[in-house]
Amino acid sequence: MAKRLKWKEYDYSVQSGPGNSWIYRPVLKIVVSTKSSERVHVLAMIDSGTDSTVLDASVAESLNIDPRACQKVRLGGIGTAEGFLSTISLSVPDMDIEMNIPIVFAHHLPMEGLLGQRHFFQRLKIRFEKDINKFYLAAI
Amino acid sequence: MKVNTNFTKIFKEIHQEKWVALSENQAKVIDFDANLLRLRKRLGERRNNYVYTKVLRFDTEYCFSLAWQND
Repeated sequence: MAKRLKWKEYDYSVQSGPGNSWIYRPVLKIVVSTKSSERVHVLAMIDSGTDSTVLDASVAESLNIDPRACQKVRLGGIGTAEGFLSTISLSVPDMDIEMNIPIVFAHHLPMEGLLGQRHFFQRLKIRFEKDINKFYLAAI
Repeated sequence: MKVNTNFTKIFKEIHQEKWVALSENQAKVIDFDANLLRLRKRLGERRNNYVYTKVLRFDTEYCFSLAWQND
């Protein structure tokens, strides 16, 4: 018998956009941490168009991650940039989910972070219902 | 705890392109700064209790772009 999924409902976050519009985005609070005592609660957007999870390098700096000790990676989107990779703990506190996954850090992202296909989408079922500006997560 | 997801009232023009520390229920801006590390240092021992976000410019349609980074 198929496992019954327990969906958790979230509202899209809304922020002012161009021309006094309101922009709704599927933003989720995550907590990232290393073995140090530092942990950062940060909002990140769920983005099926991004390969991996990408966070602004400022978050790595706050977690005392030394970029010189990390593997370099190349990011591509509109343009290219160099980032660095570090395996850290990422948790979704609402759902009691914690995963140790490689995260790409890049400097000067326009937003704080993106939760991408690899690892994040593999650990969670994600359902977007844009017409009502809600999204749903379920642990697999 | 009811969590606020409507940031239109609490994010002002001055917060654009800055790191913002939000209260746990995301209803109040506690402090903001262009530099996340500096912001967290200023918040002291309570720094791990707040929720951080980087506010996108209000006149920006978001897409994943990196080209302008290398300035």
